[in-house]
Amino acid sequence: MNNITPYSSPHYFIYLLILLLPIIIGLWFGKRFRIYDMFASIVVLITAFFGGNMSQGISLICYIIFEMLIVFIYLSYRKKHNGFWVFTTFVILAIIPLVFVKLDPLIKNPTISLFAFMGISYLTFKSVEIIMEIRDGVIKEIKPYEFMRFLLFFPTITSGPIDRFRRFQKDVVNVPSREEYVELLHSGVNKLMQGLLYKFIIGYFFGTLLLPKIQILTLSYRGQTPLGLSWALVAYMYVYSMYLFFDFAGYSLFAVAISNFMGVKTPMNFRAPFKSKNIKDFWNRWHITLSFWFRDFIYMRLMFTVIKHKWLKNRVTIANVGYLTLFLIMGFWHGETWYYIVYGLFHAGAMITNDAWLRFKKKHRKSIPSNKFTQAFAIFLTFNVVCFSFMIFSGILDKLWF
Amino acid sequence: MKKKLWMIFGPVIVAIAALLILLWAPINFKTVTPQKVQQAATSLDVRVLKGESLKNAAEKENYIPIIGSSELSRMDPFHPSSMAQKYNWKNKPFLQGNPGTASLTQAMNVGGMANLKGNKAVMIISPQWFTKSGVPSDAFKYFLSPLQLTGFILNSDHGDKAMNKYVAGRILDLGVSKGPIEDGALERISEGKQITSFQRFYIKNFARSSLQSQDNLFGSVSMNDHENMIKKASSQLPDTYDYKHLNKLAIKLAEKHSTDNDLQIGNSFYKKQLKKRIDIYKNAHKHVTYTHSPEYNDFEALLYMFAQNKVEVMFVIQPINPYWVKYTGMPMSSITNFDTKIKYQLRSQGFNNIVDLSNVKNSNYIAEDTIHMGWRGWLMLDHHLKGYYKDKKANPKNTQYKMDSYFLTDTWANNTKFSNNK
Repeated sequence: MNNITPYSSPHYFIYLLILLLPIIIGLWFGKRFRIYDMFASIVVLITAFFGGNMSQGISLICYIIFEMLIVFIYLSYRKKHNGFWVFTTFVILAIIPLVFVKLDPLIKNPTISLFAFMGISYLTFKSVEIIMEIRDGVIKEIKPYEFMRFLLFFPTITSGPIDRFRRFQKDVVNVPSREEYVELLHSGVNKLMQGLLYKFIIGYFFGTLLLPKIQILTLSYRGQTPLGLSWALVAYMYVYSMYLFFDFAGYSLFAVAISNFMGVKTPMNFRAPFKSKNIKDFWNRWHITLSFWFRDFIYMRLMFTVIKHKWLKNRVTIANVGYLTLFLIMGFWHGETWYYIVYGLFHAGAMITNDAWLRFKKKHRKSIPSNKFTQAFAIFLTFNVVCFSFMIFSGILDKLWF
Repeated sequence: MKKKLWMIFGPVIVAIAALLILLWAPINFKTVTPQKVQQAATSLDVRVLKGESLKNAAEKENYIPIIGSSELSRMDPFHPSSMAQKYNWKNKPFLQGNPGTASLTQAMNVGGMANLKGNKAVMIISPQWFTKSGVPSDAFKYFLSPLQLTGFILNSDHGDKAMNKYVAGRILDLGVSKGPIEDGALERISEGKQITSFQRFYIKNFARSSLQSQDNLFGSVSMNDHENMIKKASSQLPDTYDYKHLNKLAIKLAEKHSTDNDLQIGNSFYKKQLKKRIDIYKNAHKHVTYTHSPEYNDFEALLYMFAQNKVEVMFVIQPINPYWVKYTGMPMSSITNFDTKIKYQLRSQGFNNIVDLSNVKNSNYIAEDTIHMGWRGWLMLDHHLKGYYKDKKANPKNTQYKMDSYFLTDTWANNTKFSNNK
């Protein structure tokens, strides 16, 4: 048997909902069956990670033990001390497995990524969040099984959304009232159906039916025109963007829906991102839990450090350096290829430009019109800038040029 | 509260019920109309190839299938579909084949056409299928129809055991996986065992019935449409059929459309596919052989499928552009050896109707590009088809096949010395 990627086929939901039925009935009657919850989690994790040669499953177990050691050693240290460098060391330790996995394709040495398994990024985000909040003193106590339950919460394990420990904890220790749970069921059913529409109908149309054809057409211009550019590439850009959104948003809706059935209000990952009126707005609507994670745990902390140590004076420069760092890290996180890095730089550039424009607009408020037409134009422009960035992200240029 | 729950789950329950009815209820959705069949005959849509209902409907009307691969899409005025339309052949060609389809895909296709029984068919063979590695796994997987696969599994209790064993094993070897129960059934067939009663029950009542409903519902929705292309092509033909006259016209059209190269290759194909990299083909095929290939076994499976249904078949060996042969340095022996081997396999089992276009006296403009027949090639074939298409019923005298499972073995796939001793 092979690993079954969660939510990858419509059949998966039939089995999953049967497995969830006791949990749903329990919550309906105001009870959480802790043992059954654990059992269901183990079943899903086994089908997802222990199919085939079990290498992913073993990696997952090693990874969890490793992260647990780091978090709990740091927790006991933090109760007495609060050294900056100790904290930094622990954060670095926590992301080392992920760094190895990400570097792997670059150094072409498959043995190094001991920890490679589906979803390692998302578990690392969660671990780092806990370490940072322990340092802040907002997480004072955490039990090993709570840590595992949070990290291994199966609806979100492979691709998020990235929940926060304290928010998650509040949901799982509580049992929702009947009225609340009916609302959760309502939201769960709606999101599940929306997700099916997104991923298996619209996403399938763009990704499986349209994309391969357009890709062949686009690549047929390789070496035929300057840089292989063609109108097909423009079509590819839009089709890929649509595919990326509907596939990922569909997936995220499933994760939220299944969480809801289990009485957990996992945060949403997308909020009509193509309606964004500027690039900053876009990042508040696209892969929200990831961009908020980057905002809270990288950008804000970097800003704070830079201002505290007075490394830079000019507020604009500080913000711009912050964007560059943030999006470079995001680029590197996606993978060590030139197009992910360029994607990161492109977005940093877009953010910096956007900020500059907003400052300019503020100064010349009277002479710059703002009406329905300019707002529509803003949405149109943002949409195209975003699609262009996804075209870089897709790696098609790599295939076209190299 | 009850009302609330109904508002939440009611629509889902209704939707699921509707889906179940759509996919499994024994309702015959009459989506296949004569117009659809006519469109499907030249559509070359992959759903036509992978489906069953359209082709089985066509067998009840006046169509004779032409089974082949990429050459079918070369729709010039002399294409059989165009000729049949212009000169009102009594039976019309039903095209089945796409770039990448080879013997095993067509074996599954023929196996799925229950109504082909006792009728005629035309089969165009491309020497290029018979490479050392045989059909690429990806191409086979892409064209493998889950519907035809379930049909094959359910029919495995009758028919030739050696052939069933071979086909099931080959499908698994090519990396096909269509679900644990289907895989298990194929495994058993490849070991020469009967499928279990549970496998039969599941595949018949769940898998196949749903796939059939899907074929009925979606198999003919917004198909590719080549009817206008055929209409345009046939409008260039003169009103009366005169071979000599048409031959001149074919040369004239071919000359007009192959001006930018001296290989007699159509301009658009040359410009798109070859111009930039023509040099790399110079003498590139010096060592090509088509005599050692698992494709011979796949081809045998196809012959078994024809034999099982008592289908009378005209086999056409596709020509290769002689100028292209010369340019790529392919030895003439590659083609003649292939011819000898494939003809031996055919004739020794009673398939005697063979039109060999790989070996004609005047082969100018026989192909439309490098390896696909067109222009004069089509016209030569049409000349044979004209008579063949007068009647769609097989002549029982021509379907006395003597199948030999030796042709399913590796020994045959790699054999080049055969004449009469095995």
